[in-house]
Amino acid sequence: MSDQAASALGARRGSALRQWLLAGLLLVIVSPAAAAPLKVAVASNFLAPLEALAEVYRQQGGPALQISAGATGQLYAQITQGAPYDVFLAADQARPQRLVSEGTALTGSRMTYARGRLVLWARPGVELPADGLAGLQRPSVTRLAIANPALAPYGRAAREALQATGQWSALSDRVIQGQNVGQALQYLATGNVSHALVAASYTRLENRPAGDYQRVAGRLHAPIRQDAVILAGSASADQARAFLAFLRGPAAADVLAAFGYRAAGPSP
Amino acid sequence: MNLTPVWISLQLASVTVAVLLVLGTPLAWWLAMGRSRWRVAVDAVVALPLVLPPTVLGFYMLILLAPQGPVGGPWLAVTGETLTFSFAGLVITSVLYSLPFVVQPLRDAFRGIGPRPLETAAMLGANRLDAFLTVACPLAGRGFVTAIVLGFAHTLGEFGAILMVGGSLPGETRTVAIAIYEHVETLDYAAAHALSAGLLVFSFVALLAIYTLNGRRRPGVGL
Amino acid sequence: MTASPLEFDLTLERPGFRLRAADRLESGITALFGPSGCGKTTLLRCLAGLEPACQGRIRHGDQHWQGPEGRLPPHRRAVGLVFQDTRLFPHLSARENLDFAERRRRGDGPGRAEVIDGLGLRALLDQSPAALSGGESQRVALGRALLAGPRILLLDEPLSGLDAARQSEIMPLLRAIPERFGVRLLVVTHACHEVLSLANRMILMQAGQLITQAPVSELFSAPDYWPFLGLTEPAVLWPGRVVARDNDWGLTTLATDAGRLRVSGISAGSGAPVMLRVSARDVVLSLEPPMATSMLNSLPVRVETLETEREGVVRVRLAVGHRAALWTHVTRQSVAALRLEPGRRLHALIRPEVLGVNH
Repeated sequence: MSDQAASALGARRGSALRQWLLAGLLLVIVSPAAAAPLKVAVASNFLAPLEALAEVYRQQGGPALQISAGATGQLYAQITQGAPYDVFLAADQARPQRLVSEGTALTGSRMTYARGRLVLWARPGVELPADGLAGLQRPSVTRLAIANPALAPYGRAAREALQATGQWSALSDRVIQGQNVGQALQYLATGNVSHALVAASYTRLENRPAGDYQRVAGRLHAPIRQDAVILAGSASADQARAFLAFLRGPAAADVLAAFGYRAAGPSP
Repeated sequence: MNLTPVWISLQLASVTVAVLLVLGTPLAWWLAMGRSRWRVAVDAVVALPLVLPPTVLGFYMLILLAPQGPVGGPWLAVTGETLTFSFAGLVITSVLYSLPFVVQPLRDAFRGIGPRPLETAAMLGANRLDAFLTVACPLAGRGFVTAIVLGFAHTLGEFGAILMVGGSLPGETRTVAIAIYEHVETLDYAAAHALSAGLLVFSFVALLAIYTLNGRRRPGVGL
Repeated sequence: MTASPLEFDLTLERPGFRLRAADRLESGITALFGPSGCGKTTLLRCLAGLEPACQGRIRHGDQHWQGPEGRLPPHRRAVGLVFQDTRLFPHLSARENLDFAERRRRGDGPGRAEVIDGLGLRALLDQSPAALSGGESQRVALGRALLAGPRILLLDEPLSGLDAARQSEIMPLLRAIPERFGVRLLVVTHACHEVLSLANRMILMQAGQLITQAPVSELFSAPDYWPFLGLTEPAVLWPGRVVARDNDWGLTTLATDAGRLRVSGISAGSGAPVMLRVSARDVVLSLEPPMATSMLNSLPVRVETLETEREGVVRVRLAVGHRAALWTHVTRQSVAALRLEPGRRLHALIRPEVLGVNH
């Protein structure tokens, strides 16, 4: 083959390659923009409800959710170190507040997406006081597990409820603090405590521990508000806003109730 | 500044290593010198804590040590105390968690001795126990040092399992690793720094002491 | 103060090897001789109780070390074993190695001072085993074994790995042990000169079997065993006794079964035992009694047998003195010239070699 012919052939092959590349690039740029999943970081205790909500949302035409669950504190630490989430659903209000004040979350994006409830749960075979928290000083209450009030909002609420009913100091030597409310439930499930004050959402779990439980009146403690924020680094802020709006809607409220949460209610 | 967690951790590490030396030395000896077919299986069981996530170990300890559990029940009946949420429960958990870190170096050190020194001891009138104490153990000296250091360090750094089993009771089961974690979680970084510094300093001093003492053993031993 | 003999009857099976040994260990020093790999070390280990697979009986006086009634563990037997690789405890000094044995002494035995002086250990006591030379560790190991109070001491090639100077240092120490400390020795070796220097009896071993046991002089003088002993030429061993000394000429007269012989260069008291060796090449035959030759010794002999060994060389066996034997090689021509035939009487000029004094 002559040099000229060869270079002409090479040029034609080269241009064909470039055309394919261009087409591929366009495809990549154009198509998934509408279908990119929303990256959501969620506190572990809300994982199950969130998965149900994600299904409903998708049926309504919303994007798929890419969910990462963890302890609120750990997720907070990851986010401050630049973890690439779009939305953060925390188990408390403190962490989302900090993110906003630090500028890591969009100002004005913070909102309460759910309110938690407490239940008093007894180990199987152990008596559940009929008068609720007021009856906890009985000897049948050998140990009471709560989440650590310094670390977890459910723990704080548990302490408030115990203080409101005058049980806090009386029970202080019988109270065992788990690192989070899940661990408090674990203590109950493994029979290491006789009673526990844990999140009401646990009563809806399929594999929940045996034993009786009763709801703790919401007026005994400050509301357990779980807040969400949109992160500043998100490239899908509009999608995120749409999702948070969905969370405040009636379809989401049904799912929340099914999982033992109260809807957000009036803004604080 | 409250240094109690540091003392609890040091106590836990010391007691755990002491228990492991007493229980683990004969076990390591049997693994190294025994002829039973079961050795391989026991070797694998001893190594299990290496691959088990601490939370898995903690979870099963919660079940075993619970007041109605197979270990916690008898303990409660005998002593009147529960094993979970107590220092004793922490010790049991740490012993299991750090088991391979003490037994394996000892086993390897005993294996490295070989049968010859023991045959020699027998020819000089030493029975098996005598030979074990006066010949095998000194010759395995370096293995003991490694076992103590690793066991101690590993227990000091233990977190997940003892957090679950101990319940972080201040003054009793709240070790320094847990205390640091809680300070970080509550954003009290100053306290976290202080405790970490305390832990590092003490550990360094302890390691230095051990290695210095080890280096001063008779030259010509070289083992 | 010698103890009873050690009687044993043992078998040991291993893939590719079978040990079958039944014999007795008498007093004094017995050499266990055989080619490498024939099982000598294994036999020692069986006697010491270090081989669990060994079956059979071992009896020491009224103590049953092994048998149908049970097996005594090694540390309860009155036996010591000095291994080929000395095996001093590296974590103890030489002195502490000796202490180890003394503290666990199993019976009457030599005293500490006696062992230290007898083996020349005083200067070595504070050293660690790693700092000792081969010969020094061997001496310490020997002292340690003696201090443990055994009645039987098994030595596995105690001189291998030592140079000639060290060997000649240790040999007299070993030789003195039976009489000085009342201990029987069984010494494993595959070197003839070690047997000749140390032992008064020897056991031959091959491929896991014991062939025979006899006094050293007997076995070395027996043609049947020369190939086994690796002797390339015939020789005889004559035990002798000093009867006279000629100080003017520095000669010593020895009485042997072959007759009286004079040798030079030994200093020994009257009656002291001396072992002589006469190799075939040190024998010259003469029809007439020799006059004026440089050979000191001449004995009348009688031809017993003639055997052609190879082309032109005949091996002659001679009877001499009181039932002693002598060998020499002559050419076929000499056979004819001297008219050699069984029964012929003639003279032999011999040059005896002194192997050991007080031996």
